[in-house]
Amino acid sequence: MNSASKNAAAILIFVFILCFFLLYTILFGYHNRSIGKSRYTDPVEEQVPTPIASPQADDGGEGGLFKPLGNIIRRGSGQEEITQESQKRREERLKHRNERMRRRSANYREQWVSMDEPIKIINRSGLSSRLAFIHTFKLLPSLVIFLFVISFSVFFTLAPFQRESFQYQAIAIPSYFVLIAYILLIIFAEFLFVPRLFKKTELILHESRVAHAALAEADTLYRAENLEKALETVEIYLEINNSNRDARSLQKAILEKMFRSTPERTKREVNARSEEGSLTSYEKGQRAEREEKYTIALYYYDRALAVEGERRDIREAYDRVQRKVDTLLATLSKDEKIIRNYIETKEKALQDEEDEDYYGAYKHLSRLYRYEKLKRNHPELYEDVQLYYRDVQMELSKHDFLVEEITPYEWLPSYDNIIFIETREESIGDIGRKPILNSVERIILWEDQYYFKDIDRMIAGRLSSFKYGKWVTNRIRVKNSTDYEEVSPKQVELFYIKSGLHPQYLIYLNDNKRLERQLDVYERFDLDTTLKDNGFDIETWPYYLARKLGVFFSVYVLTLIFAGIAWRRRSIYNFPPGFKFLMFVIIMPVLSYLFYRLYLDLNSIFMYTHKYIVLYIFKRGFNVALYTGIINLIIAVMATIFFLSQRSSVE
Amino acid sequence: MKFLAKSVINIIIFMLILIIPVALFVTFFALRNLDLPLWDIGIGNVLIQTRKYLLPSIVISYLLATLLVVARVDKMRVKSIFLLHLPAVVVACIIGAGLFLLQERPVMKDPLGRAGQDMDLAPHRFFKNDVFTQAGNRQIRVKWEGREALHIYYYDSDINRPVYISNINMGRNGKNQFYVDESGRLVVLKSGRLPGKKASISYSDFARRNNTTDLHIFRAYEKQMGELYRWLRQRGSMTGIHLYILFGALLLTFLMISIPLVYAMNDTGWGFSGIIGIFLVLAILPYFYNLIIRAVGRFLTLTSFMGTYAYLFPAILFGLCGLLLDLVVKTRSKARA
Repeated sequence: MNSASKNAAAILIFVFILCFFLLYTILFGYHNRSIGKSRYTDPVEEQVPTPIASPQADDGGEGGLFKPLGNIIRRGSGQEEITQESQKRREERLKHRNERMRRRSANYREQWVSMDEPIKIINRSGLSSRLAFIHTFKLLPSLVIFLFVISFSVFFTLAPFQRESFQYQAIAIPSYFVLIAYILLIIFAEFLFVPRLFKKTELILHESRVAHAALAEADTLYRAENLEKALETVEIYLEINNSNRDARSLQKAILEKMFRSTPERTKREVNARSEEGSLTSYEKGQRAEREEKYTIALYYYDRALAVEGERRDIREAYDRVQRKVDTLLATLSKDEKIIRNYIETKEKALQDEEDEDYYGAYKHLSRLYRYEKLKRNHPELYEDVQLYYRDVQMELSKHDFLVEEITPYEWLPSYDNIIFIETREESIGDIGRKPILNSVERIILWEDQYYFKDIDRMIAGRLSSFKYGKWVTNRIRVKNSTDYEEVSPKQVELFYIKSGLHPQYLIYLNDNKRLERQLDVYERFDLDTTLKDNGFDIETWPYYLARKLGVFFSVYVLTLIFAGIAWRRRSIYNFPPGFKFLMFVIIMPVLSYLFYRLYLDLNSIFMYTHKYIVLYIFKRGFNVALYTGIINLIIAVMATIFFLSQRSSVE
Repeated sequence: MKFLAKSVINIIIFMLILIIPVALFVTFFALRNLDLPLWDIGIGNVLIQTRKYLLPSIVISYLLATLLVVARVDKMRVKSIFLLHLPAVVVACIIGAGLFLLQERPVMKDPLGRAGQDMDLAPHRFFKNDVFTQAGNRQIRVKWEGREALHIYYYDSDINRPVYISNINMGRNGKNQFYVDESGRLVVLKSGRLPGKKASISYSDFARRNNTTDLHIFRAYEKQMGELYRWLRQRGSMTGIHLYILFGALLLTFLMISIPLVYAMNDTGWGFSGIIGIFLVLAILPYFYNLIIRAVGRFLTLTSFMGTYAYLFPAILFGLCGLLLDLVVKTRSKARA
């Protein structure tokens, strides 16, 4: 590789890196400012026009030169009229300016940051940084085209290249390989990097919405003296952003109020509860036995046997505690009825649990759970009911849910008005295989769980409404009752929605743009059929691939063609004239971008003609990606020949 | 003479090369302004629109071709900057003669007018098959069989109740009607099942994919051209010969201003700068024109001496600017020589 080749490659790489970071810095500033207080988080501040002071009859001309042209001409013929007219013009100008700013703000939100109402972004620099990277990668094709044009037009004509032995191939070949490397970078960005950045921006936006709602809700709860909930809510905010002063002050105020009113015993319990999580079932059983809570100890030893198998020490402990429980029950003769109820119901519940009839077990345990006399008179027995109750609930939560899981968090921001289709592979009853239309008023995301509110299902023209829903085991369970509710096999299709699509995609179904830009290449190939089945307007993978091929070929073709033209019309000066070079640097990037977009439109035209080609010529399937790929390849070959066939000498 | 003939031929060749891409671009621009979806407008409709906008397409490609030739011209062979305008004028005469001979009467009678739409706009152009199409706060899913809608799922987020409609009549008859009201620029769905028994969806409600014609640079340019167009339209009371004089004058002034500017940017030592010059000129001219027109608007009373031909005042100003530019370029070339 001779020095010209090395210099050419070095220039292309160095200038690329420089331009990339310069572009990123400018875009970071732009996004940071756009997201920042002045434009986004607050509505556009109306600028009220200040009245212009009436000019004096003879003010000696101070400032007179700077007055509007109309005033100078009409001076002396009604000062008030001048003032009013100027005021009116000023108001008009400000009105237009405010309107322009509002529109720009709305366009920005629509293009980059999809939020219905402006709120303060928590991780502003993180969001700006990601948006700046996305924007830079989106502009990368035009940057590459511009880089090659300026290199072939100006840089490769400079002194280091002006040697007698200079050959065009010395710069063409390394430039070609550098171009391929840049195209690979663009491929990586388009397919993987940019979608993942968009996903991250959505996460930041969601966190900001949650944080904003949490702080407002915590404040409301604090004022309503609901301190525990208020503390829980403000901690949601602090988990997202723990440096906010307002949130920290609120947390401090809540804690102070809580500890003033909370007895010591509760504090100890709170502390003890936090230690519990780290013990095994056997250790918990041992602790309960030490505290003479035998029924609870029995529960934990039973769980330990299930988890760790028939260990001798656990079995011995279990048998020992079982005897103590039997003795305990025998001695509780006073409340025979309560004890008998407890024993019978618990046996039924445990039998149901063993038979995996968790709804049955839950029904029995619920009765005990709500048995006030048991709770009041025998708290030690009641405690173990709570443990079994919790276990059964855990099993039921795989197929069902309790509405009380979400009712305390209904204040959370939600994704609204989602509509999707459920298609069925098997025919079901009189519905057959007709698709079912589902509409959801709200989808709430909380602790990695998705809750649905106000769901309507249109099945064979009949509308069924449900108040609540939750994503459980790859389906959406819908219902109207607040408790666990068993569903008969015949009604499963009504109460369970199998959309085939995880809610992390469902929540964007009413916004094509937002969802599409987050899907990386794997998800596109994986989900395009499912998304289409759900009614989402998405291009199937051949069209997606055809469009992406357009991006890659546009960079390749335009770079080579423009580089060839730039070389043919290159500068023969030591350095081009200043003004013309400045115009070139200003206009050429814009032109590169325009031609890049026009090539993409041309590619869209190729894709559109595919429909007619298949209809009239091929009369059977011919993959659109292959079709556009072939056309683009032909153009690419011509561009390559044009580029490589340039001469070393000046024409 | 040889130089003149060669330049004329070059302009015509470039015009023929540029006419198709320019016509397509103008057509898509026009369709975008009509808020029509571009995903399946149909080749027939594209050709109808292209025909409507053929005259502007020819004019634009002619102007671009002229500037390209000037940008590429060898300055050593140009004897006089004033004579450089001649090839463009010759081609303009050829085009004018051609249009006259082809008797494009509707276009010649009302060059600024737009005949009523006669595109084939049926509902299937607006709704893809079996997917939800977003239209404002509504989502509509249509199952098509050819041009017949088998059923429709309609959802309005304000009401939050999906509606299912079958037995649809394509047209304005029957119980469930589905048609396009071109005069109102609406897609209309009428059914007893709908809230209010009718849903009228404006063309502009349909969500559009990111279009090149939506780019800010084109929007800004379109705004300037729109202002110029409105100014011209205000002179629409002019008929016949006056309108042609105005057009001719504006065209001439465009050439008078743009040619010296592009020629000044043309550099034998750096051919690429000529191409940059074209876009620089195209970028600034509409702003320049509107600036002059606004200024003239303020001094309207001063033009009263021109009587019926007062509308030519801006064109005269442009022409004077062009002449001045020619003199400046000529002087600078002489000074360098």
